Amino acid sequence: HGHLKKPNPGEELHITFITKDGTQKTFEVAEGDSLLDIAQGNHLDMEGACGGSCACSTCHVIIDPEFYDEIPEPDDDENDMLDLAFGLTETSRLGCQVFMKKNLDGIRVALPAMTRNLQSSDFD
Amino acid sequence: MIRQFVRFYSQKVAIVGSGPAGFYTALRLLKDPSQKINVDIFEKLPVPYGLSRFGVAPDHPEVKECQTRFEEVAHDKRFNFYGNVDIGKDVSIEMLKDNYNAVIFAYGCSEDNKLNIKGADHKGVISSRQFVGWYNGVFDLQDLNPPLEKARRVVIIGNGNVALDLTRVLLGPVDPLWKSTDITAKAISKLKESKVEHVTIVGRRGLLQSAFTNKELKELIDMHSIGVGFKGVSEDHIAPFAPLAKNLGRVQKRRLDLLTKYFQKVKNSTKTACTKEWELQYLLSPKEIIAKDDQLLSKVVFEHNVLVQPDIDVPVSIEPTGEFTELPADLLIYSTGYKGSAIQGLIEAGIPFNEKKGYIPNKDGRVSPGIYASGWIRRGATGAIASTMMDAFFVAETVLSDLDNSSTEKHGLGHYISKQNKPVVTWQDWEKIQQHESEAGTSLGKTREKLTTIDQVLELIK
Ligand SMILES: Cc1cc2nc3c(=O)[nH]c(=O)nc-3n(C[C@H](O)[C@H](O)[C@H](O)COP(=O)(O)OP(=O)(O)OC[C@H]3O[C@@H](n4cnc5c(N)ncnc54)[C@H](O)[C@@H]3O)c2cc1C
Ligand code: FES
Repeated sequence: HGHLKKPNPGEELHITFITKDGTQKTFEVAEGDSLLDIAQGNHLDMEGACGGSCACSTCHVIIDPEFYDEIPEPDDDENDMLDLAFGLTETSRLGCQVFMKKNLDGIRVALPAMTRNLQSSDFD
Repeated sequence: MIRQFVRFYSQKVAIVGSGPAGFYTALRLLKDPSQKINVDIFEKLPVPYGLSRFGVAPDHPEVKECQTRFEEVAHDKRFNFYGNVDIGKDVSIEMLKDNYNAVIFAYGCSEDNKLNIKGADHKGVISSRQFVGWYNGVFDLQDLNPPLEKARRVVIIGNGNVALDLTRVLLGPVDPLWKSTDITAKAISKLKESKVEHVTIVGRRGLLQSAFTNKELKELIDMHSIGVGFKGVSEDHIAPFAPLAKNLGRVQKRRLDLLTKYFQKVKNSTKTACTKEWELQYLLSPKEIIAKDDQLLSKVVFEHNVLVQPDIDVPVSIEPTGEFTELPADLLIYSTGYKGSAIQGLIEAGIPFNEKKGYIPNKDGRVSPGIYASGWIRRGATGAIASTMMDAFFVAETVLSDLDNSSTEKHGLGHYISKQNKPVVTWQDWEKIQQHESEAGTSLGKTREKLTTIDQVLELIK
């Protein structure tokens, strides 16, 4: 689990990732971990091409609207990179800029699907 | 039954080109450690990474962070790197086809969209590909030697991030901006002598159509704190959009906000002393270049355009007005995009190529049975590394799903290549080159000092 902290007993926070193929995976994590670190530490499909320095948008995630407002607003730099994210939604954020806090316990985030659907475009 | 048999052999995949597309395709192909697959990457140059090394601006090292991931891939036992192997010349495409289960073209786009106007063949007219390649250490562009010690005004044609990269390089103070980056030592000494004090970035279309990103725009605007002022953009280009702001897309709305806020700030503050300046000009098409002498230009003639949008759901286009204007310029850099070309023997091998737009036609990455394209050569020269990555992953998935259906065993060309006369650069060699470059950099107080001739590289790994 790479650079992930181990949560103190009784202080575990929960996060569920919905992967590209629709499966849900729930993890117990510590306060302060970024969504990028959590995803990479658990071998989910999240590249983080710029190493978490808010310069690439490959850590784009879609946040459950129920939790979106609980996260501090994106700053200008994050907004600039979100401009470039694939399939941007109203509740999109960059995984390297969102950190687990108590009020995010139980949060659900989706990894955006690939731009095109392999199956259908194969047959048209 | 057949599936099991297929899995018995390791599938051999060749990738042509080691830029972000080549490496991200390899990464995805090798993602499952139990997959029986071998990936050989062939690179024309004796060093890897394509435009991540030779294009991305030296002051954006975080963008090159992707190379850390590429190094991980390179250490996979199922991966081989063959540098200094020019596919088409050193190894024919037919040979690749015969010896691999799949061949993926990921060789990028390395030609300019030429500026076809009167006077464009003057020495003072340089393409962004040449200029960027010169300061980033591209081997065959080291003699470019742009006359920066004489030029005061530069006009840049084109409205993408590369135009903004060029402006930062031309106007940004060597100290602190460039001296510790991996920009070549030669370029640094040239930039120190530079007299360039004014850059005009010119777009054919309007402010909202410009292709640069807000992040890069903001970065350049913020340079007024280190003596590079933004002369701005005429209110004429901004004012008409203010009432439309509600209907604009997210990116455009934020761009308008950014510029409006900037002008407010400038109005409210006493102007900081700036010795250098840049500006944005819109709705101008270059028509003619007028020379001063054989090194420098005198001016560029432009025709004014107007924006037309016949219907709300039709994209905005431009129409020439027949009115002309001139901008003084000592040098002109045109940054109007890159174009792919057919590598030697491609057409002869029966692989289609779209000459006009410069890419390999394909469907979901498939070109013909066993042949694929990925990255810029698949889609044309657009998109940052993040979109090249998405593209590469998509193509790799296509390849993986096809590989299951093939059952012939292939042996690859590793053995053949190492017996040729021309030296081949292995990954171990590259690590040696890399170490040499970073040590040379350290002694100069820079992140890296690139080797700038192929001979130097080959000498080092002898
Ligand atoms: C000036 C510039 C600045 C940029 N800055 C940024 C930035 O800041 N951030 C960002 O995200 N993106 C940036 N980009 C975009 C990014 O560089 C591209 O998205 C990406 O490099 C495309 O990858 P590619 O692998 O398709 O092509 P390339 O990177 O061009 O790689 C192609 C490779 O194929 C090799 N090759 C060519 N012919 C042959 C042959 N016959 N045999 C073997 N090998 C061959 C080439 O030598 C090269 O190594 C920039 C692009 C440019 C031009
Ligand atoms: S990892 Fe690059 S923006 Fe988050």
